[in-house]
Amino acid sequence: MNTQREIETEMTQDEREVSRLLGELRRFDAPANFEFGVKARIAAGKPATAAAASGVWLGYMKFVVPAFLLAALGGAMFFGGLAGDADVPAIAEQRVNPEAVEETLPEPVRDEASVAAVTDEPASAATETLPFREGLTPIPAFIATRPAERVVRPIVDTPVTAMPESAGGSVDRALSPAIEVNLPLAPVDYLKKYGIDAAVDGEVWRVASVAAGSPAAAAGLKSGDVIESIGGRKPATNPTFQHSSGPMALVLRDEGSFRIITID
Amino acid sequence: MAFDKIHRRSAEVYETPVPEKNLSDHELIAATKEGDETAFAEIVNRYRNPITNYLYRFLNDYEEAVDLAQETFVRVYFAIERYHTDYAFSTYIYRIATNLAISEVRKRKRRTLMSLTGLFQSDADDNTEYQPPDTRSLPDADLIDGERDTVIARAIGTLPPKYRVPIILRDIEGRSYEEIATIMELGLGTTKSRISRARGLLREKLKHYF
Repeated sequence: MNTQREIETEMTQDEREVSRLLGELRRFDAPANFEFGVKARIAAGKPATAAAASGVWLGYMKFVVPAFLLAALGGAMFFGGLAGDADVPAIAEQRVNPEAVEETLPEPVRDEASVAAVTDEPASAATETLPFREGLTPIPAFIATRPAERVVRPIVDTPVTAMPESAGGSVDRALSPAIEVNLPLAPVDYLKKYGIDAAVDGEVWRVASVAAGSPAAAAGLKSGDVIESIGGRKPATNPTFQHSSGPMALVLRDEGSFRIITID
Repeated sequence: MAFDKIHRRSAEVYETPVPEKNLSDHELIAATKEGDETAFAEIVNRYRNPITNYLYRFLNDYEEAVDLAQETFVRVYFAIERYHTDYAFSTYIYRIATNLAISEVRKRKRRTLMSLTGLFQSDADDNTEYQPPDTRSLPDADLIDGERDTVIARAIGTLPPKYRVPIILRDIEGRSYEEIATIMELGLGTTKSRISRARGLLREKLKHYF
């Protein structure tokens, strides 16, 4: 190529030496199991860093949601306390302005339908008012009874394992169909979802036990097995996972050879 | 023992049918789009070593390099429908690898922000340009080769990504200036001057090895 040669002759002696030095560096090839890793990740269904990106977002949510709920709880207690305090009616009258109260409330609480769904109470309960002293602005029942508690439970208590539908399904899931936060999981917790009890052992995970009747047991995983990577991720990279009840690809190490199993 | 370093040649590398070997990159991509898994395996086979070496020289961390190299191929696989034959496949895959590597470096920077050293050095990449050269005396001759590689690798690692990418592609991977310009989405002139500048910076850092 013409331009190429031109440029090379423009190089100073120093540049040429650096170039030669770099050209002589030892090359590092891909490991023998490289293709297995690629296939395992492809089997897992999506690029790993895309999942990690949503994990970052959910990571922030871990702080934002509780902080928001805490603020809501604090606000409710503050107004509830003032409204209930008989000694300071003047202040209470001044402060308990229904519009202001509404502004501090989180969206899901104001939505009567979702409150009804979460608490399993009739929707009319939300519109009832508490018997307050005359002269005070009445506060709707759903504000005065510490609404934050109702929202906290389904989010923080996201069920680790849902009961099978045959056993009636998970109560928590039934009550909170709309609020399902899928937080990123540590590998060990992620494996638990598939019935695998494992722990990090050096550069691999070692299986301690496999729940009988679980998908993992069905896939032939047994205690003592060495898991090389989960969906192409290794312990050293401190991966997190998103449980999506889809198939999971594991690479198992077995006396120097490797095999990939997919668990549904 | 790092499992990655066991060099076991799997039989299938040699058993790949001859036709795939003779296909061009673009033909392999077309076959992969049709659902031919062996065609994709051949793409992986062709590019896994250069991509791994490139990322290793960029990140100076073998495990990380293998991880990102695998991720590169996964990206290629899932975006294969969107791949167009406007330019060489190698350009395309190097660009994906470069983007992954750069965002990995940014992530690391964010992590180091939390460390104590981060308090005193706000932007690791930009400050390194002013790093003083390595003035230690030369080691014994038989140690030079091993150590020289380590020192060079470290020196490359201190270059800001905008210099690190082109010099690795040019002097280690042997890509053409035109291809590097396309990979980096820069003009040919800018690319040339960055490579020249990168060599100058390395020359300064590696004074004692000439």
